[in-house]
Amino acid sequence: MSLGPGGPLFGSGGFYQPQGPRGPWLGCGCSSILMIMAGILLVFSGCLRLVGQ
Amino acid sequence: MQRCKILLFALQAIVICAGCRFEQEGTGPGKRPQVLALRPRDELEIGRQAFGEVLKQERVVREGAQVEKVRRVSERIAKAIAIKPLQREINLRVADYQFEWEYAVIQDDRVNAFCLPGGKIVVFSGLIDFVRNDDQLATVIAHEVSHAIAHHASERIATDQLIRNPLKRLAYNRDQESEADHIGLFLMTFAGYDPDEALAFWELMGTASQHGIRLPEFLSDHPNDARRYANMQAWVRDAKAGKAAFGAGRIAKP
Repeated sequence: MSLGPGGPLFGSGGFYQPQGPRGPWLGCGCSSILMIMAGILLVFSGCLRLVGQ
Repeated sequence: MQRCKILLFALQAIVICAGCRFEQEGTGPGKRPQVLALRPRDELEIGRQAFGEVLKQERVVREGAQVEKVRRVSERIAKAIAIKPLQREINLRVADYQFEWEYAVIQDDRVNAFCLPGGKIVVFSGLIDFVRNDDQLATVIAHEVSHAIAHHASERIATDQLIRNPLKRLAYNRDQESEADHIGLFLMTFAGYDPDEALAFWELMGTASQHGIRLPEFLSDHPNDARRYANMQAWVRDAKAGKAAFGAGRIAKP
């Protein structure tokens, strides 16, 4: 959601937020988890590299 | 070193998968995935033909207070649909579609209304007698128009081909009804109607059903329960907040 000085901006989907089985949340939850896992793995692999060298 | 390569490969795979998931935030309202069966010109043509049939077969009210009321409300709803930031907010796919907004009042005591693809609104005289004010009529017209601008007919054709289970189909239909409630509330609010009257209208409908009055046909596959009402209350707040932001010029750039 876009934010302006007085709060969220209209036109970016921040006000129309569907909740239910077929909204934008379809991809969001899983994607977030996958991205977090990717971040953890990235750090982990960096650590392994350091240890390996 | 081999372990690092494996880990990096796994990392790439995860990022790619995550990317795929993001792509599933599709082209439908609220950026939900939506599969459509009809091309824009097909929708318009089907709507024209069906509207022609309705006008031929039904008793059409040509003039008078009822026609004037439907014209007044329908035109304001159609104007709201043309508001670009509202289109972006809901993620309405209307740019490639042609809507020829027309309306007809049918002499029929049933409490009913529908909107055909391409923007053909049909309101039964029974509904006009039932509602208490223009805001309540706008509630129903905006709901029905939302089905058209969200391409629900086209989507239903596509999903009927994909989904064989009748229970899943019913659930899908109910989701469309819920979505039409949601979009409709925004439309009526941006058309200058009071969204609180939508809640009043559904309360009126609830009372009518408790007294044994048959629910309107357009409610037949609605999720007509407390949860739906709670959803509506939240959406009324969102629609009002959105209108306030729009009115104050707090609008996101395209």
